[in-house]
Amino acid sequence: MTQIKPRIRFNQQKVTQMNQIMSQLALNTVCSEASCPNLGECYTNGTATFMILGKHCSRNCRFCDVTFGHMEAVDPLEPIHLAKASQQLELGHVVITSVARDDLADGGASQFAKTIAALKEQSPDTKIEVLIPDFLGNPDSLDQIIQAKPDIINHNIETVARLSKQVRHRATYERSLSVLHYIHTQAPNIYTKTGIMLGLGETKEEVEQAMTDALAVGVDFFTIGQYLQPSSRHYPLKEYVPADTFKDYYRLGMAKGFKFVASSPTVRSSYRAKEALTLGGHSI
Amino acid sequence: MLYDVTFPKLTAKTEKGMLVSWLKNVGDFIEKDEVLYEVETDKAVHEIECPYSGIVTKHYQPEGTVLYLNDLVAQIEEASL
Repeated sequence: MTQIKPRIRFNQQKVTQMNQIMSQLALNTVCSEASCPNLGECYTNGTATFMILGKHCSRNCRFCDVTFGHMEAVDPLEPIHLAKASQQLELGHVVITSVARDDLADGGASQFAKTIAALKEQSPDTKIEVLIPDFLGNPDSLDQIIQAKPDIINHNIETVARLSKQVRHRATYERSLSVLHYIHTQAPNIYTKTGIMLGLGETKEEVEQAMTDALAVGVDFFTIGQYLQPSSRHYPLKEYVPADTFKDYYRLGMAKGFKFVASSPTVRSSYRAKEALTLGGHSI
Repeated sequence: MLYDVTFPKLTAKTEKGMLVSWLKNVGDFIEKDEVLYEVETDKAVHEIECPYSGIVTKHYQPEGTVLYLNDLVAQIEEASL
């Protein structure tokens, strides 16, 4: 399958510069921790997705390359450091995600809220997108995120209903949908976003059903990308889905009623995230 | 001036990759940020750009070699200004 793996340009100087900024401010990116193949492109363009609350995750999802277990202390300076990095990088659209923190009472929601507040104070015009865990469905945690007023709240369903149990860990398809529904009903003025990976063995009917389910709970933006198996220990890659199939799903999603669909092999939930906001409601 | 090109840290978790092809031969001129070689990892094929402009004077590794972090990859004689 070598010839159909994505091809990524890598500029060592620009990646090193980004790594230095992150390391000086004790920040992490999901780009690096999850071995994202787009890292070279995004770093070269001066963008990154911050990953707060440490680089160790309390869940062990089979598709994900982030390290499991050995949870770290929450850094009280992280919100300010992240705001500084965003200013240094002149980011007009900041994406913040986190590891799952089931070990914390609020799942880490207050750290998200503090980070959003720090960003708003430092750069009031910057658009803020958060990619959140499910917080075990805790409405108090979700309320903290909503009250911090980011522009977009993303929570990924990751795969179709049938495969969720095998692919995800301590997360369910139904709970993810209910998280998205809660956000949509409590904060209809905040965009909601979700996404799935292809290549795990899903059928076209199941993908369409996932779109239907996401629309039914009020999701605005839908992302679809190719799953890449991080190592032989991870969930086995079933297929590289042809680029034309991704285009078909784009057309299907837009026809079904999403405000924006990003669908191509290299799409990740935060890849070119700014486009969803600027093009939301319009065709790409 | 001679510079050694080493195998960089592609991501936090990437410790190795296979050198699948050289894009520049020994004796070729390469511009800074042109692709010098390609490395395949579990997730992708990375086109590694050259950090210097100059003549490729040495390939330290043949195609098919598994490269580890900071392994010597190539030597570049920087073009004089």
